[in-house]
Amino acid sequence: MNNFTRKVQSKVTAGLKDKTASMARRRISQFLGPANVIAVEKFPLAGPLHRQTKAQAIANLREKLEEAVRNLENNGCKVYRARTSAEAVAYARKVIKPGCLVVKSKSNAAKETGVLEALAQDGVTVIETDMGDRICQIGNIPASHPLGPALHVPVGKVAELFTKESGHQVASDPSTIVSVARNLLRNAFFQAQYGISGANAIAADTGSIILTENEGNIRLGTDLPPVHIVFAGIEKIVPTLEEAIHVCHTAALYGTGASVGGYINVASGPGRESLDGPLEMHVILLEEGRWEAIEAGFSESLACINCGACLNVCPVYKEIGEQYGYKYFGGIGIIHTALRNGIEKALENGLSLCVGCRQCIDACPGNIPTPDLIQKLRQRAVTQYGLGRQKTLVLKSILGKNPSRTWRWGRKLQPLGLRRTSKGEGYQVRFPWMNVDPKRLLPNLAEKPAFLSYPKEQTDTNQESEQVAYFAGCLNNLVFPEVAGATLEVLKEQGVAVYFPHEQVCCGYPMQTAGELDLAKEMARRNMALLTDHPVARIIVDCPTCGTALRGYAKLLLDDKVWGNIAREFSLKVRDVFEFLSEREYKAGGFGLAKMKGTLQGKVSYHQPCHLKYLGINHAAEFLATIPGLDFDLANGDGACCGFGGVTSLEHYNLVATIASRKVDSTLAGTEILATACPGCMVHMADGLFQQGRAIKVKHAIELLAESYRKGKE
Amino acid sequence: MIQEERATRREEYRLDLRNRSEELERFCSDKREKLKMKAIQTLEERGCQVYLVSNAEEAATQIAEIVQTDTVVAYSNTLLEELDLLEKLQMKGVKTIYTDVLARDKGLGDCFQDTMKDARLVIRQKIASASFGLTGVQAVVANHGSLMLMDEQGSVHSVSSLPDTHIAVASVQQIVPDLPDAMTVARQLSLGGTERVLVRYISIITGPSSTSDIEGQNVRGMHGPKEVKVILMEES
Repeated sequence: MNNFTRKVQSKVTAGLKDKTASMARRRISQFLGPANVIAVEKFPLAGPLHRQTKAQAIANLREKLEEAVRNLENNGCKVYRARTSAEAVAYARKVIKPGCLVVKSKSNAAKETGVLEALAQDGVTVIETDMGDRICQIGNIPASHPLGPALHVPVGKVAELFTKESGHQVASDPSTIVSVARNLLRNAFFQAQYGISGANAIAADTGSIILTENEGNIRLGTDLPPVHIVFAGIEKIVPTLEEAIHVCHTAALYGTGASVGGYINVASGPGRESLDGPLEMHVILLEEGRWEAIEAGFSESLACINCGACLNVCPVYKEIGEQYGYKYFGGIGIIHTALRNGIEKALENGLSLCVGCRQCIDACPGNIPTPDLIQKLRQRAVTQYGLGRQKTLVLKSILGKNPSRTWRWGRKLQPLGLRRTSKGEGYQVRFPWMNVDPKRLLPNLAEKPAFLSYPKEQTDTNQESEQVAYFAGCLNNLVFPEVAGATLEVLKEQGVAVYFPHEQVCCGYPMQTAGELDLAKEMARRNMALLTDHPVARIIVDCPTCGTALRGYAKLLLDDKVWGNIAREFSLKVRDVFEFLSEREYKAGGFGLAKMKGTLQGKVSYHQPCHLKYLGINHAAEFLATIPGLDFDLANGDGACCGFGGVTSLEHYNLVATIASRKVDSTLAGTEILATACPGCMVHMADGLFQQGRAIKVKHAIELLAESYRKGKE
Repeated sequence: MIQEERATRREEYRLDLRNRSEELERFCSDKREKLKMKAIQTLEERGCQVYLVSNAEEAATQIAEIVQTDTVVAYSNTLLEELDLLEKLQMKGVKTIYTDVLARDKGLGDCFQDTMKDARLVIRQKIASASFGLTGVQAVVANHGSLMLMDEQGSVHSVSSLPDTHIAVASVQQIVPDLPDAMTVARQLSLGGTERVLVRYISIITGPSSTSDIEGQNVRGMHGPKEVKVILMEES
């Protein structure tokens, strides 16, 4: 374990300890999540238009930057292009006289530069004017959410803070506190010599700074003090005013669920002899890491508008909050950190934490592929600092080898290093070894794996039946052969000819997420060589994570001269088993399958695996709902991730176990079977249930379907 | 040469803008009734009180009723001037302070930086002490329930921000469907003012100022007005 890992682990532990903050974050995401989805549905064009705007703006950034600078200067602004944070800070210190009063509204770029710390040294008083930030500032409390920084602070504590601040007793009620804060801050607005703000967008064609908000503090802070200083990253520049306004619309929609914020302010330069407005306006354009991001293939990360939508769905952020990130929060924050402050800073602050659930991609108005960009960065980190002992063992010596070898050795070693739990749920380590948590429930290697249990070719007598290949993946192959059996059974029931090559190896996903790309590519090539030696129309998976990997071969091997084309064709053929069944049912006119189903019993709760959710595949739940007799509920269909995270779970078991505990908590009493459609989720949820001593069976949905077919035939 | 090119480009911009404005105007006058209903709905959804009146006379009566014996600080813009609204208010006995008069009294025309800074402070305190701030608007956005206010030299932002209640006077002719349309209006109205493409400050106001920063409870009147009252006139 290296220093980076130790540092992240201590951050994770600190984050997990702060239970009030995590509760507040989960509360926010509970009401913001659904509200955002409804709001976004009302404006279906907002996202696509936003993506187009940002992509074009970033593609032409050099040109647009020059246009913006020209027009801002025409408007009377003093523009300073800061190549680094240090330059930005030095400029600001030249403008702001020591000992003065500054009112500040939210600015991520200002936070990024560290200007506040520098100004404090100059004896400058900076007053945060956003209510949440002000609470955090006077209470010296770390922010828990970018949009609601003080939501975790109880109202009583806030009243106490403002009692001290105002010198009068303040009642413990939000309206009273707000009116006290309003008066205190208003005085600051009137007295301040400088106002610092960020920018939600900068319109190149009109030379305008566009800012959106709900409270009105930005409006006052940018328009009342005699000097207005803007801190903004150059990625905030968009070609036109209309596009800049659209950024605000999008930020509100995805950030708060409102179609626009309470205020959109368009400031185009200082005033002359005017009653309102600054007499001087400085625009500091921060370039640090932006050009590098574009050059190194991370342009997409610059489409971020800090709306926070990704954080509301991120299972890691929900648990450890601001500990996940550095200056900017969450996975996207880690990307910014790596590009602006170096890969080491990213490693220290959580490059290893993303569990790859991909929920942020859909939530993001820019559809930024954060998990993919993080993988790319992990690859850099591996090149520089290596994989580490634990990951090398798991990825290279266990998953990277032939499954038959892994199984043979595993069966022999399992009883030596591990001990069976008292009720036989699985295994735990006998002694602290390779940093495996002694509490963790490890899965049992099957007595007879799938490749020894089922024939290589399962042909139908019907010559015209559809030919498919089946990819079981390591878990179904070695741990849950019954799942592989159920899938093969259902496919057979469908009259499909199945090819199940026994020599298939790991899909490569764990290597890819760990940043060990060469090994991932090797796995991909080996699997493709195997699976394409039969003329099959479809490649069926019942592990959505393997599915994600297989669908991703095209991208993974894009530059491979030999395999590139093959991979492209291959990836298009991949189907989740339920997706495949649904396709067939659709083709067959929607009947036939339902007839064969027999009655089952039991109370079943369904957990939707993230790697199906992001593809919009919800067919497993649909199929389960049609099985007669099952008391089926979607209590676990809230879409929350189980937290497995594969490679992440190796280093951060305490984190992923906490995420799993939420899943278990949300499973209704009386549930007999927790069904899902992913063996990874099965392993992790079985562990979660085990930790809380809940006797609920975990099953793959395909097992239930196979069972129902069996019953139907009886 | 470059100057010529710039002039041509400016001319093209003006022409294009004129076309867009005319098109927008046609569209809005065709859909006037629909836009009006939509705007009333969205304004109310976002927490504004809407008073539909038929003309300036009625608007003045409505404002007098709202203000009662309190003081209103008014920022005069073209709309309000055209309507003679301020005179009408005075005739009804409403106590009104004009920000431009405040400015003149403080000798702002002299433009000594220091006096100016002092003067700005005094004027702001005066504005903040009034219960009501009265402004016109430059556009109403039907889809979102937003009001667009523009300012070059005056104090429209102080007047619409500092008092507890903002009274905005708008006419149904000012309603446009969406935000980009409001920007077309803003661009058009900015022409000819200064060398800038846009006037100094535009704000798009949607409902009263609010915060949810304390335990997620929504409280109005964080830094701006607690209430926004929109006087919507059918004819102007």
